[in-house]
Amino acid sequence: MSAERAVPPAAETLAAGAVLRADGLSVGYAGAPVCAPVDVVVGAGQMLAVIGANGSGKSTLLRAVLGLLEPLAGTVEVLGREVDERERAFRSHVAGVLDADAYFPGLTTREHLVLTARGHAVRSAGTVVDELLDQFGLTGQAGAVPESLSSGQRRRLLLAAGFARPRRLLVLDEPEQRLDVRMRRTLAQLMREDAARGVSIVFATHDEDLLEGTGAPALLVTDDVCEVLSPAAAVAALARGL
Amino acid sequence: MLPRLETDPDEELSGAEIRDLTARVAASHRTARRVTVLTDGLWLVTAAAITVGLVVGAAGVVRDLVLAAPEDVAAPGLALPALRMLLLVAGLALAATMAARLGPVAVSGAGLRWWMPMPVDRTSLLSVRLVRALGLWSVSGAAFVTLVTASTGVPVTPRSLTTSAVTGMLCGALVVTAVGLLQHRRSVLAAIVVTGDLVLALTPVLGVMLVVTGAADPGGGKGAGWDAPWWGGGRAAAVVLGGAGCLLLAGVHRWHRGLEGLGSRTLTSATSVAEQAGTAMVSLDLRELGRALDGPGVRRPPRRPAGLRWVRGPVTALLAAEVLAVARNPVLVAQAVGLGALVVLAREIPALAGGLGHAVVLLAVGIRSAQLGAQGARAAQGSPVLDSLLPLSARATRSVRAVVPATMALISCGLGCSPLVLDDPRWLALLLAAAGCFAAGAVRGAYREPPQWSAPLLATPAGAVPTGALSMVTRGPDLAVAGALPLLVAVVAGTPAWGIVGMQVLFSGAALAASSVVRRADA
Repeated sequence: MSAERAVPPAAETLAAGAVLRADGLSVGYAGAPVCAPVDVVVGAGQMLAVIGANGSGKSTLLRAVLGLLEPLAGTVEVLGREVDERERAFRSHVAGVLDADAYFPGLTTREHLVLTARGHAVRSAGTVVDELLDQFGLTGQAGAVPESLSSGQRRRLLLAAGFARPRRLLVLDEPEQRLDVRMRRTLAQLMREDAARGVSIVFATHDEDLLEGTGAPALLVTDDVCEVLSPAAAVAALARGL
Repeated sequence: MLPRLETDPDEELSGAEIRDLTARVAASHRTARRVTVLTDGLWLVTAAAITVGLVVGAAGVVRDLVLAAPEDVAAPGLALPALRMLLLVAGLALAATMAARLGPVAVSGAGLRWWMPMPVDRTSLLSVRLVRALGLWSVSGAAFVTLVTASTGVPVTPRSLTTSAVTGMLCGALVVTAVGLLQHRRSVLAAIVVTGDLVLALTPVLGVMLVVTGAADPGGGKGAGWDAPWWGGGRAAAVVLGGAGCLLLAGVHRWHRGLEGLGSRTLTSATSVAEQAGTAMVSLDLRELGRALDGPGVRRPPRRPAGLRWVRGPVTALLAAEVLAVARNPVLVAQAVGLGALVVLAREIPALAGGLGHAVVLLAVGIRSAQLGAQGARAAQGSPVLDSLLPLSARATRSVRAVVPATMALISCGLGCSPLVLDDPRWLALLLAAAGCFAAGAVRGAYREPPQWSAPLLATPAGAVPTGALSMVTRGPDLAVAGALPLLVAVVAGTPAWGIVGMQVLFSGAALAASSVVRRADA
């Protein structure tokens, strides 16, 4: 496969306002790396997809970006500081939506989102959450407990929680999982909108439509090398089954 | 279109406030009335009082058993103070290893998902968890030490009970505080788990060494050190207890300050173990509890790969996997050795030195040791795909999975009965034959279904008994007990006749055949 190299994100832009910077970042478990070292820079308002085969290390990489996994080597910085999720500033700027599916007993869908918004000191949290419930098609389930929702609806709830709080970097791990086609299109549109407002988005995906819908370049993660592909080359790579 | 988010510094909440907000919202949905809450509270107090009564009664029975020496048994070589010391060492190791496994500070899965990403202070968010851990270990320590001292010959007086309770409380609090201070250092925590497990497993070996060297000679006073407070009286008491209290307070203060630095990584592993263990406890699923406490975060990956040159087919491949599962876990091997030492040690306690008492000890050790060897079967029950990886019938798979449990049972029972074996080699033949029934019980128990709470309740004067859950707990040991009847007869009679050995071979064969039967619903 001859992957078309992406035009690197405008160097001058990135130098001015790099939100995420990984230098020789090696991630893995028990001392064993799961993929080749990663060198990447994501500027403010830019999106970067992470693509690769199952088990190639996409989620592991995202966990390291969120500070949930210690890098084996190299560095990963967010907003100019080494990633440390114990810092409140980091938590207030970085939103992550992984696959963790746990809920407070007795709290409704809406209450989970209001709790998230209030935890981040969002003004008029109730109004914000009602708008998000509408965007994610959960208005009818606002009063239901999450355990009673379908798996797709729970996925929408988790994604809505990522948008219910202020952020400068949004990290999504395969956000298309369990979503119907319409919701995937809505998600792509919301991501574009978020990026247009200056939020940087890093997301792992296997979905060509989502990748095409966002128009993001992609970091191809493999055992041998991790390289950034242009949006077109990334979609083509996914279409070929990597 | 996405809503525009604006933040208001006046709306910022602390960790404690966000925790309280969550609790208030959850409480607003509850329909329980005050009468219900009051009834539940009274029920809890009554249940606690009954439990305390049962424990005190059990302690009295154990004390009577330990103290009453049958006339035909020689004077025991293990003094009660030595036995007490061994139990306290084991309790200390258990307290440390449990604290390291369960956190000791952990949040719920929901807390991890929804609270931890918030920019709120973790000190006030997690302080309730710290207090809870401190209280749990203090109360458990007080109860354990009081129970041990009351069961091992210390005169039960208000002073001895106070001494025991205060000692246990202080030790429990200090242990959990020490582990709490190290919670953010995962490698140290893992070392505490392994060390605690090894100390706990090898405590009986220490007891045997004390007996062999004569250090546990029953010459000492029965209640030495406990019939009066160790902290002395008057001004000395104030100084000693004040010093211990200050040490504890300083530790807790530092632990509390360190909560802000607890990362999600640290809390994730603790939460995972605590949630799984809690669920297993509530559902009386002992196998799941074992899985939770033996979590993946605790064990290290192997340092070097196994050669497996002797693997020649599916049977040897399965056997190799079984052997590696045990051999790569030093705690399991130590536990098998420790169980053997426990049999030797039991002979130093009059009520367990011979006859039925010794038979019961041997039975318990055989069952437990075989269970230690059934790691593969336990894993296969959780992930049935493991049994379908190799071209073996379900029956053959279960038969092969009985080999390592049988070996483990033979090691423990063989070590424990080594004096008997040296005296009469027929004991070895009997134990060899009996290992099969212990293995059969372990395999049957490992493949049992989770507790069935839909089964009918049995009404008893002590309350309703969930028969479905109870039958799941006894499944496995029931087969081992039935299969080991010839061994038990021989131990009670004190003679391993060849006829009994033959009977044992037949019983074990039948037990192994029964354990390898796979019903269509189980497959």
